[in-house]
Amino acid sequence: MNFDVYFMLSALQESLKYTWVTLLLAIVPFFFGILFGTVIAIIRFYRVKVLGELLQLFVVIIKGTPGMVMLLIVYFALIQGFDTISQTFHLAVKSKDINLIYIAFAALTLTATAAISETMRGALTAVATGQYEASYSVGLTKRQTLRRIILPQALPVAIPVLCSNLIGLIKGSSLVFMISVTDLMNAALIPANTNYKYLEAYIAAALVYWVLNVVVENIFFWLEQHLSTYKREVLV
Amino acid sequence: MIKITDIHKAFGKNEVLKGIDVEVAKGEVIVIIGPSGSGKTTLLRCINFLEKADSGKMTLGSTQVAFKHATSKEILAIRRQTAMVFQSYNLFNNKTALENVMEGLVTARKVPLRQAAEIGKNMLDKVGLADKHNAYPSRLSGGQQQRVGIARALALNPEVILFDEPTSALDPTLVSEVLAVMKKIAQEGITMIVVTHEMSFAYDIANRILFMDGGVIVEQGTPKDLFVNAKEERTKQFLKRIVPEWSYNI
Repeated sequence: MNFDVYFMLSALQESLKYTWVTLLLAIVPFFFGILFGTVIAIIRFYRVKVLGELLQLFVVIIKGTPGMVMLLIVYFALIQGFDTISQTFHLAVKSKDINLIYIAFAALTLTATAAISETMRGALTAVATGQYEASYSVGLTKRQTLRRIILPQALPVAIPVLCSNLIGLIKGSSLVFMISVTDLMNAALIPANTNYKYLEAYIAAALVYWVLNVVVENIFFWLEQHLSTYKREVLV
Repeated sequence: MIKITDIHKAFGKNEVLKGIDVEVAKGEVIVIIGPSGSGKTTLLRCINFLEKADSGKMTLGSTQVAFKHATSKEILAIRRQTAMVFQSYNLFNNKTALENVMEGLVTARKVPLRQAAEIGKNMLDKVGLADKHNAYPSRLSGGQQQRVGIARALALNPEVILFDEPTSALDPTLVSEVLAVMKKIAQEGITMIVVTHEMSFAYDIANRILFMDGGVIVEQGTPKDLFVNAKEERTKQFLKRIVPEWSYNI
């Protein structure tokens, strides 16, 4: 087998140029996923009537849809829907003028929201009922209890899974080549299209993903330590 | 000061409280005793709405509520006049001892931070934890945690403090430190309703003892009335089981 190290390095260089796209594709959906996911988790945790059940249905549907399928559904729905709307309103903007990265943001945010809502719901159940009772007994309202007592205890529980969620998003964002967005993987593959040295290109992309994910893991490990200072350390 | 009339509570088909009337005067120390499942804890938890009673009325200070139709505003008003000490302490795990004591003052009652800290420190000193202000609950022993729990209740300066078996989760060597603190505050004239299985402690601090069984108050009176001259057969049976040595002395 012939492994072209020099080509791999040049593919690496290309993918490094587009690493920020991958990061953006992971961090934006992650941010909105935490925002929407936490709200969904709280609504479902408190069993809000009707809304809670609707959101459960939403989560089940989104969770059961593969990332690639979701991306393509959102892509075609938006493209076709957009042109219909812009025709009825006689707008000059066409679907082909939309930056495709926004479609990727929308699809990945949907996937992230469903996953992170389950992470947060799990973390909420980890807080003992006695914490609510004590909080109510000193006169805190439901909202104050949630903000001051429950969420600060649920967050450290959620951190390791949130880390996995983010890593999942970083890896999952590689699907955006399907809708011709250039991310770090696509950038590594483009030069390989001319010389068929795909192995080198994929290994270059893998190396960047690996470094990114190690950095993310370290950040979350630090966060976890920082947020759980109140817990007793387990001796092993 | 507290008047509860005809309180009923059922969990599904299991009727736990079958129409109880209780009246507590200001500064009175009431101890509730009785076998497990007699409804003691449920009665206590209905007072500050940790359980919602099915029917009955309560007057606490100037607040009057019907248990079933209490609005969340009324519930909050009641909770801000009461405090509770739990069997399993239930200290806020994410807060230090001092922050635990300050939480209800700062967040619920909007006491300025500096004043709340001062009250909090005084209360912790009072329960003998002057050196543990900044310790998290995970670093405290059971007895210490429960004393923080008592300080947290005291700091709120409530009309009444509800004690739900405060020593049942402690090992015997730590029970006395908690009981000593409770005795001290009982002597200060704070209104207390205590559910406990510590009979000699009950005898010691109670102004009045209620004996509950099967969801009703079977008998009540001064410690002497109950422990020495119980009239009801059920009371005698219970006391004989729980404090056998008493039957030898009499």
